[in-house]
Amino acid sequence: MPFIDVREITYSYDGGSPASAALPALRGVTLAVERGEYIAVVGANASGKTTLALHLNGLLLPASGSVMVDGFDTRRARDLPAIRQRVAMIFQKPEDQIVGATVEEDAAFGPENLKVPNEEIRSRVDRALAQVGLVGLGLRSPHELSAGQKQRLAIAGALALRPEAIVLDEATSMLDPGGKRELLTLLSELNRSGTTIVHITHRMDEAARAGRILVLSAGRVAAEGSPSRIFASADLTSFGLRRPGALELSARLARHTGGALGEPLDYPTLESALLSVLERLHPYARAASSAPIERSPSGTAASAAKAPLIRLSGVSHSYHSAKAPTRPRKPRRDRKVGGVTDNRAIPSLRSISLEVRSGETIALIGPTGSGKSTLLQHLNCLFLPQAGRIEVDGTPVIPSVADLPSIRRRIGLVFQRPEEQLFAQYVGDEVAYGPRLAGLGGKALTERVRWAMEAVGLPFASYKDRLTFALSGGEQRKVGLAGVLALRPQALVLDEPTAGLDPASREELLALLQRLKEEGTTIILSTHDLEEAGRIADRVVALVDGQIRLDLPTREAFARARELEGWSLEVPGFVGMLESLARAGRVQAGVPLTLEEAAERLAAALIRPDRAAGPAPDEAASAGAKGVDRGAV
Amino acid sequence: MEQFDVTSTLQFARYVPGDSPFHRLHPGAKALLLLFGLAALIIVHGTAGLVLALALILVVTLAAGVPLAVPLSSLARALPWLLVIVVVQILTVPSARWGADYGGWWIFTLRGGQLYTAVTSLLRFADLILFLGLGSAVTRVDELAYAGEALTSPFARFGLPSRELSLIITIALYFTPLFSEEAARIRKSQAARGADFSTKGLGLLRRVRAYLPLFVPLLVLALHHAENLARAMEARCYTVKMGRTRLHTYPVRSLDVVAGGMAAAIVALAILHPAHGWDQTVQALFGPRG
Repeated sequence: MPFIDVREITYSYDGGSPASAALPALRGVTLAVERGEYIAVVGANASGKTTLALHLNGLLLPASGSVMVDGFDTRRARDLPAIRQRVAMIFQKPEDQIVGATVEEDAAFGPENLKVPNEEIRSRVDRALAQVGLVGLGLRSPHELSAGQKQRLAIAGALALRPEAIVLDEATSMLDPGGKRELLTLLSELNRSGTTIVHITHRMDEAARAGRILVLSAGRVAAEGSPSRIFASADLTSFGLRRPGALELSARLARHTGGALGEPLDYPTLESALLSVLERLHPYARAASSAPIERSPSGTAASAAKAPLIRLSGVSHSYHSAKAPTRPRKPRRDRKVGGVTDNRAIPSLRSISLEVRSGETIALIGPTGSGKSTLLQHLNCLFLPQAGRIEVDGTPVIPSVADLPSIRRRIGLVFQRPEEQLFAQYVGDEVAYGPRLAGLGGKALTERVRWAMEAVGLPFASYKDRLTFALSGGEQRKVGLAGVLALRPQALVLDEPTAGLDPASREELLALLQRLKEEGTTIILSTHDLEEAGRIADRVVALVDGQIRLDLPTREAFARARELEGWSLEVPGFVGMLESLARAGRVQAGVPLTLEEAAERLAAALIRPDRAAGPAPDEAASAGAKGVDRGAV
Repeated sequence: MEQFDVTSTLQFARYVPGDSPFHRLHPGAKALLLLFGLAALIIVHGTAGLVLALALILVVTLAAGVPLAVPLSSLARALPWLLVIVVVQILTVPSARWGADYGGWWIFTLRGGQLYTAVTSLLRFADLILFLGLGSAVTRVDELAYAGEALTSPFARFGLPSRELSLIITIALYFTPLFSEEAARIRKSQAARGADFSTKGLGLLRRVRAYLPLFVPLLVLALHHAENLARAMEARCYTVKMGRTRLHTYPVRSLDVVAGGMAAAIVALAILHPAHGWDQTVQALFGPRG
């Protein structure tokens, strides 16, 4: 009998009224999780992932069907403590899981509820904190932890229950790449030492780490199997998902390689497959590998002559300096306890100089707490610099005389999770809020709202009278974005616009930004995801500890992969792979910005050199395929 | 911009790690000392008792290994407000019109008694602030929550949910700075859309309406937080009607009993006010009564 046995469960919010038929519900899900397994549950937003997760330890009870955990039935109330002790749960938002005044008290919460004697709680807590790498932080307030540390604390709280399984519901979505990597490593370690892991995610690179994947779509199990099988066979796009990059790339090269690359789930695997194919194809070829990085032909040189739209010079900001100069310093020992440094630095800016030219797209990257949001809020003068100065359109912003509301309308700022700022009952009123305050009314206002809503892909006629809070999370984010777009800003500043979106919504948003960019809107966005930067940005600015450490055209920035890694930022996997293939003399050197570019470059290398001068693509492909065949025989 | 930076004002209670006898007191004893001490500072009248209390507080602060800069800096920040309160007080307390006459202006007069009142008020507020600073410097937040539970536990048999109470205190303390951050963020994001929250000159209804874009999202967030937190607690085996054990237990030691006795003695002293004679000497410096 499987450890967690989910049989044909159905669930609907709101008692199954016709209106809620579209809500994420379960329509007959069956799942068996064996002891020690590492299973990923994937699916787009609203596919029912979270609903399923909440069933696994009896936080929700199925309307029909059954969930058995280690022989206990979640529908029997007296079994629930035993079930929740066996199956622990980690949620998406780090800050919503904390109940303790100190780190160790928080970790102790579970065992306290189980009435474990206090000496044993102590040993469980100490061990759990050691397992997640929070030794020495026991007496800290959880508020002082970084998001990644909070998530690890949540896992410690789960481990203190001595569970057999841990269910994680999109637990990585609020973390930066560094925090994410640490959490994933921790999961693999726990799994190796016997803990069953159920990891719910919409990120395929994370799902690929599991031994088995379950694809949910519209409340049903759409596919199930090993990662390679799922990625190869299932039509992930129709479920609102994407294949992992390495697999996508190898699929695009398939017509040149005849499938000789197999189904690599990650870039190292793809790289070795490519190396062997390339070696067989042209064993002696050693292309020159020291070609210089090409300059991206962006408009930067052309528009350099014009005055920049926004110019920051020597801008500094620190959060407490102005108000409390007498505040005593924290004792030194507090900063670094037990070898663990406090990485929740107070976001502050140190002498930032930055020019934003009209029409360009800038990606602002940096680890959590590096001051990205603070910098973005200087761009539209929500923050005025404590030192240094800001110029907009060549005019210095002087606080006492500047028309700040007008600057804020010209440089629209979309905050992180804009869906959380919504307040109006109807979508139309929500979007109209900004333009109305700017004095727009009547027909002009209607037209403006119509334009903004259609721009984000919400048809005006059918959405303007919808209830704001009844929309899905993805739609709410679009409303938030439309609320700023309705100001018709010259420049759009976005703080992590794609964070937490599923792949389909993310693609939609990127397409929207691309469109705005082509229409001439200046865009500055912060992101953890350099793949996004590669697709949309002309320029990358890296902010670390409140200082600009790198400000280069995207292509040149990507060439600094090692530097970026040191700041817990990761260039897309294909960049590193092409670089190492180039070092081996197998492809022309050069940094690809997008997966498409990487595919083109590899395709060129897969065409045999003696015929590379000008065969038709089909010929080249068949030649490539033949070459591979010959090598394989 | 300063108007959005709420967190910087929330710097009142600061724990200073240490291992002094005061740090190691039972949380319940600390809370009793704190409550009784505050009561004594409010009851005591006359400069003598207040000066004595000030000396005692400073000695204990030093003995607890708390740098004097910690309580003094919070006093320094409160000083402008204190001065305003004191000025208002001496102008509005009629019983202070005694003693030497230092002249007057318009409807105000300045008498020695008013100066005396000003000195005692300032001293009292300074004592209160320094004492609270001392209390928070030697008491961790979790101890505070435990103290709430310890002191209310006698009433548990009458149905008072004392353990839940301490949990509520803890969670509230954790969520307060979180919410002030959220509030600042929402305020800024509405400002980015052109909102202006300076509502001078608006009627009540319009003022409320102007703040809706701030209150509604905050309420929604609060409800989401509450729902998520409840779920996370449930997932960790929490149910309301059920005994729980504790990571930290605090056995009552003899030192705690001594501290409790001292707390009672301090209140008694404040009521009996043995320094009465000395006070009259001080008052005489400000001129004759009557």
